[in-house]
Amino acid sequence: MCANLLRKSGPKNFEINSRFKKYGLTKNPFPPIPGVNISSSDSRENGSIYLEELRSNEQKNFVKMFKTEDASDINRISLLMDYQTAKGRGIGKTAFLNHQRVSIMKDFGYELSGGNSVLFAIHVNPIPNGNYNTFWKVSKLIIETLIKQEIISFALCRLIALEGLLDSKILDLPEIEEDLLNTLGNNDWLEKHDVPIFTLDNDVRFVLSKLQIDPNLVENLVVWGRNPEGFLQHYFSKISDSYFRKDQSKLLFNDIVKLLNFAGFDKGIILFDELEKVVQPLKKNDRRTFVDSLRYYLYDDLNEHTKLSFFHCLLVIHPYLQEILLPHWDAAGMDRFVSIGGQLSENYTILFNPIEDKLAITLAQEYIKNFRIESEKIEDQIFPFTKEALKKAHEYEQGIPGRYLQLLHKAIEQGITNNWETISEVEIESLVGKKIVDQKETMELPEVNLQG
Amino acid sequence: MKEFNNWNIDKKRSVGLFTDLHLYIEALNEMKIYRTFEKSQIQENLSKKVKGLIYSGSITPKMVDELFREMLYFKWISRNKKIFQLTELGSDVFNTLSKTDLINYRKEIVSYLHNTFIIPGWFVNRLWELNPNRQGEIIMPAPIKLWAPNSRKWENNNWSNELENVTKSTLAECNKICPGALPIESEDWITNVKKIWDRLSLVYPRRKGGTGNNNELMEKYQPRRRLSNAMKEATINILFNRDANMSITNPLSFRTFMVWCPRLAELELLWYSDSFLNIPGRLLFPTSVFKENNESEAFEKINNIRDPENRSLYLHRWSNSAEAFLQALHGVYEKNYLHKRIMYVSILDVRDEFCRKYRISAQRFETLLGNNLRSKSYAIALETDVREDQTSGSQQLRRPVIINDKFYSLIAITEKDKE
Repeated sequence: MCANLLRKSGPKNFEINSRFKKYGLTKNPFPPIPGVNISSSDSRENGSIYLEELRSNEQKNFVKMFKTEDASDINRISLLMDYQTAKGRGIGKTAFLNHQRVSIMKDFGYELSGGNSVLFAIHVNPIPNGNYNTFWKVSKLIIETLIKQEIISFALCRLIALEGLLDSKILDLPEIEEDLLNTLGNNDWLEKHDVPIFTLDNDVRFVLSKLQIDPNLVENLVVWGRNPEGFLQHYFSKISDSYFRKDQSKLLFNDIVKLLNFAGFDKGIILFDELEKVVQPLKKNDRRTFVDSLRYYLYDDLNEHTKLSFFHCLLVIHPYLQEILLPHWDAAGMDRFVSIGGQLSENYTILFNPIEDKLAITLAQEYIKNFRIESEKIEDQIFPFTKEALKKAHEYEQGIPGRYLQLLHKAIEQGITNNWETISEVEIESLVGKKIVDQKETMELPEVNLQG
Repeated sequence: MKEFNNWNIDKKRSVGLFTDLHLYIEALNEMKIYRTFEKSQIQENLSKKVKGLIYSGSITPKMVDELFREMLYFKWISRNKKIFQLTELGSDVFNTLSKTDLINYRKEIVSYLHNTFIIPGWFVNRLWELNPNRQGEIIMPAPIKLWAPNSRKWENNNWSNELENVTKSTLAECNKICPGALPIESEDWITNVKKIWDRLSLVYPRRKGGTGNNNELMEKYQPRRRLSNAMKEATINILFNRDANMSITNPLSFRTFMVWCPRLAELELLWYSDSFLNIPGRLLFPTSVFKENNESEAFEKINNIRDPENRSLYLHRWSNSAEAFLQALHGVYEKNYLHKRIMYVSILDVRDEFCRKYRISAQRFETLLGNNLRSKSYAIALETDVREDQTSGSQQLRRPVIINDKFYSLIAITEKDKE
């Protein structure tokens, strides 16, 4: 009895013990939960399985926005719109954005900008019921994301390297290029390479003081800047809301821009996901104020960002949000900068359409490939599915990738439970046979005829 | 009772503006106690009322006036200035009604109403005339759901292109969902709605009133409500009032229409929705029909109601087996379930669709369901739980589903495993 209560879980050998061995799989290859969770260790959920060809048009449009010789030519706001679903769920926007962020951060935008600019990207996710009824709360969210996604830490590391605060022998070490944060950002590593931390901190302090930014920020950057959790805990979380209210977003658009620019970044791309969580809960007047604030801080105000045209915001919207934002957008004069509706909006918008059936098959294949038991040597790359089954599933879910993958997850589970040899069109139909009924345009006639 | 075989009789117009038909038996019950009585004596003992989920309170003196007026028409009571007395007929009627079941109670009452006002039989016949291809389905329209304007200042009340477009779209939408349900020419429709809108726009603003007894005048009005009222009145005028081909003149006004519909629904002659599917407005259709003769168990004759062709009025009822009822009910439930994708769906929606498909009254549906809750083939679960989507104003006023004297709002049905 006691042995059972104190035992630990043993090593898992999915190849031998897999419930899905019948299908030559280590586990169900499709995500059990729809959506992308970047902090998850499950490769089905964290966006690491990504098929570029699925979104080749969208990718082209994204690259077009940033491939320019002069970073200041890049527009400050652009839009990404889900074209298929009115309320935007499952089309693959988060997966796309996550992929962009990872791609940009791997070489600081070298490939994206054709080597012309040094870029960073953050993926901002407002929380539901987060109450963003004033713009400073949005600024605060962006700053928090900059910290959590290690941009501030990267900036400090770059600053140390670019300002020559370390010996060139250390800077030439190859592990720095592989992992900047765990080398230049890690005091243990620095000490192992005989770098006196106290002296380094003083040097950083001296360099930062030239920027003429908030002294409290300087001090915290020196002590905690290269440690995101520490910076969050000891600096950011201690700033009161009344400070942010009085600050009026100067911290983000002045001091932080100065720091990041000084660290060699030409542009920061803010991938602002699920804008509806900010806008939809607002009252009509507050929506107008939100758009006015967007215009003020991004275009009209005299701040470091407007001077350098530093931030680019990619706002993720869907048709319903477009509908509710449009009157306020026009009233605030934002349509002169970025058109949110009408023909001109095509110049600023990446449209997300549903995927075609051929790509749906390729997508399923990609997921299956990652969980195939190698020793089984199964040649059919989409086994246990047939092509017709995948087409049926694609058709049923109207080409929405999130929903399509979830249906395939369900099909695998049912297949194991019901001992299906393969999953063909028939099996998919049995899962979805009773189709969701939409209300018909014309009411059916009654079943009885009283005059008959 | 005298039978009337044509619509051209000397009929009363002043129907009481109340819809609870149990008031008759309640009032007779009180009157029986006294040899003579005044209105106030009867009023204080009549029970308080609910409408849908809303408590509407005590019966008002005005309603008592109207109740007494009707009972005078029926000759159940007689009058000597302010003092009233139950007649012999009234006493007989009370004895009959108090011992009978609800179905027969309603049949008795409808005979008196038809005899006095002619509207019950005439109205059913009129519905059949208006839309014979769909067995009398008619829509009382409200503006299309997409149109949700903000309140406007009282002075901003001109008829506009926007209003015209909404009016036109509403007509088109109604006839698309239910062909022939609003058999009105577009021009005629717009002209009439506009005329009533203009008239309503001349009405002096009301006082704000409220708990503080605010004497200030209302500054704004709700365009949607005004247009909705204009549409209803226009529909009644065109379809039920001014048509020269009708055999009686001015049978229904806007006010009396709003009384007759729920009354006749209560009497099982027709079915009348509060809100139904995607229809902009209310759907009504007859659950009764005039026939020359009948041999089917599916119909019950109502005595003393005939049309000018001497055909009798018959109520339609469910005549198939209990198993067939449950199978049909499950079919309707499943359609709702597949549309909403949740197990417990609104029993009001299921009831309304069932009644529409099978042309029975809400009361018959409730009786059938109450008698068949224990089934070998289906597990039926009923719940009383008012959900968020059932708490809006219009949803609260919907006729509730009452089964075995209990109010229910949700239903789930699953097929039991066959052995």
